[in-house]
Amino acid sequence: MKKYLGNKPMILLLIAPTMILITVMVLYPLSILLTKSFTEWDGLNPSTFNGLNNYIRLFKDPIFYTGLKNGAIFALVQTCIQIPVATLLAFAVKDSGRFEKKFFRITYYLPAVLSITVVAQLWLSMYNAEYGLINKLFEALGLDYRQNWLGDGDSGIVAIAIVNTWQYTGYQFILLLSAANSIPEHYFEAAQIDGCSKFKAHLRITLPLMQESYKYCLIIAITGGLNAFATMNIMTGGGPGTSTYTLTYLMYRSAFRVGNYGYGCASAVMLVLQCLIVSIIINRVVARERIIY
Amino acid sequence: MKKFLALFLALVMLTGLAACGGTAETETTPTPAASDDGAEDPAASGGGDGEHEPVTLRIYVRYSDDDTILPYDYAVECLAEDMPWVTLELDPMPADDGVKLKSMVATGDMPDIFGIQGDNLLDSVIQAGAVQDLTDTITENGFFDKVLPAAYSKLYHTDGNIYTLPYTGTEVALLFVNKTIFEENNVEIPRTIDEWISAAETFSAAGITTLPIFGKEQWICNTLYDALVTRYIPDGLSSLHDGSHSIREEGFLKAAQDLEALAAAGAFPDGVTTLNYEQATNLWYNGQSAMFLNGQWEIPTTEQYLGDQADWIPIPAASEEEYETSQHAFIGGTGTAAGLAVCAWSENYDVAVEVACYLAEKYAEYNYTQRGSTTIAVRCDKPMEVEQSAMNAKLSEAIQEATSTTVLAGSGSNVELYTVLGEGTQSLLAGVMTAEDFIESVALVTGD
Repeated sequence: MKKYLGNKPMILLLIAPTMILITVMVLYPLSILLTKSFTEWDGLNPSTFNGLNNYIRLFKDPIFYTGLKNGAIFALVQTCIQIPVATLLAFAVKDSGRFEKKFFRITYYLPAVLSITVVAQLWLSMYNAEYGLINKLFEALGLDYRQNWLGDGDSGIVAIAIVNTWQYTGYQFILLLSAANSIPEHYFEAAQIDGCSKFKAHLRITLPLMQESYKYCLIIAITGGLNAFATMNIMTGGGPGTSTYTLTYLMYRSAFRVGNYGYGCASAVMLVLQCLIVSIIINRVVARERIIY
Repeated sequence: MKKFLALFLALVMLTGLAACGGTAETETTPTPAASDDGAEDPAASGGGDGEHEPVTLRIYVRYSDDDTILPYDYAVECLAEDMPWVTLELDPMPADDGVKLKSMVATGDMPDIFGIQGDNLLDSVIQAGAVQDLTDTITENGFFDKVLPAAYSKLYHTDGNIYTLPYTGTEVALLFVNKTIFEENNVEIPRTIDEWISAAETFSAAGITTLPIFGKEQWICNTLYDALVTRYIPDGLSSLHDGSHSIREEGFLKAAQDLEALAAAGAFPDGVTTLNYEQATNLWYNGQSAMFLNGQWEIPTTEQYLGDQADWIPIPAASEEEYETSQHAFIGGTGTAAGLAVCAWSENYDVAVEVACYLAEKYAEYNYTQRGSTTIAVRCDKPMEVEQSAMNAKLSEAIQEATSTTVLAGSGSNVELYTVLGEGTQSLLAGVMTAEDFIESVALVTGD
């Protein structure tokens, strides 16, 4: 093994395909994005350098702050609902019988494989202010809580975040379930011999040993929230007005609606930075030590 | 041995990657095909007639609803008779703000003929060299003489050149009413904003939708606001684009306040900003709403569903006097350069220009002869084959008396202004923004 690791040219050769792919697919586009963010560009013709103008304008743009706020709300709703619910479901399925395990694993994961358009349309009809299932349910229960779920500036972003949360909780559930299943059974057997209840065993054994999986789930939930676009594009188109805009939507608006690709690139750079900072913080704070069992 | 094996594996991986990336170059320009025995394949040849070489042209236009499908099919049918050597390959245009067209220009994979509208997009395409000035060509082939003066605004670009051949005609927005619903509820058809607000309150109390505007699309929100602005400032939102008026002028604020008041009176359905065209027209066609706002192209379908129950009315104004003076101020009627353009890189450029002119004529011909529409862009010498409907006849008469026009939906040379207006008017409809805040948000873009 030592001899093998000492062969530097061979290591270089073996990692070259991956490095080439990352360079072509990630680093090169990122460098173009960064370069273009300092230009005035219509997306078609040669761009002209305009220094920090796009960034200065961005920091003065009220939509930028709406986007930041909505991204944070989206990420918060996703994280606070997805991870606890996925954890509970994963533990419940882990402790269930063979048939139930198979059935619930498929059922919970099902929304994640549905097309985002299908999911958005489904929830659009449920959220419909006049004929939607949710308002009708309140009506049937005799509750005067009829809401204009998507047409209200404040509730709109939360309503959309819930749709995304519902769709991708199954994905988090699968990640956590496989992490829980990979913990050696003898830890639980030892705990059981010591008289530990199932709840306590999960609290003291399963949860701590799944730290690394939680780190990954956290990154997906938060960056997924910050990057949110498709669901709101289908459900509200960013509206009413700009009230459900995120940074991704600002990027789309600037580039494809207004035709100012340079400004769109500047907002995309801010989005990349935001996700990078969040990922670095999570990596530094959560599961710093690698757990090997 | 291990080193050799590792080197071999790495080479296999690299070869695999290279194989994935390399695809055989394909011929994109169709050529006349011949069968093995030398006989020409009629299907592939596009029906060359001996005098002309068969030509296949790629065309990129809207083809999504009756308004775009029927005239296109008619034009293609006529083309097959008049120019049998030309075959059209349709690439339907999505509603994507010109994104696909930009990609086509950037990659050089351009259709021979394409629909285009919007000053900014056209400017980019001109700068990229994808279109050429058609002024001389269409003057020589006689197309220019056939274009009706009312469509000149769609013919000329801001640089004074012609790049587009208008085929959609003069487009105006109309406020439709369902007379039966008004009669059944003892509500007068509104002439003033106050009457409109009062009607909205009555309908709202009776559980009837007043105006199911498809607010998910921002252009229609802009159109409604534009309509209200024209009651105070006849040039409407166009005057913001050309800088002849400031957003700080009272008319813009009053129009925003009218919109706010209508929203508060329940004129629009709950969740109006998530309502799409299908949902809105569903309410209108089924006689469940008292009013509807759309372009004049809505007339045939409205008549099909509602018959004599439907009519269109001038936009209500602040007072009876203002109603009288502003009733011929049209919303729409002019526009920016829009229509069929011909790609300068086309291998069959001359044929493409000829076909584009032909198609523009045939689109107008269909709308005039088959739909009874008189707001066409290109003169039609054939007689109308259908009886002109009451609403179309009324429009033909009214448009003769037009006192002012605007660019439909408040679009113009400033795309950012158009976008901000759309976002603002949508917020006003939803009741999440005040009229004063709306003016401030627009002023940020206009710099007033």
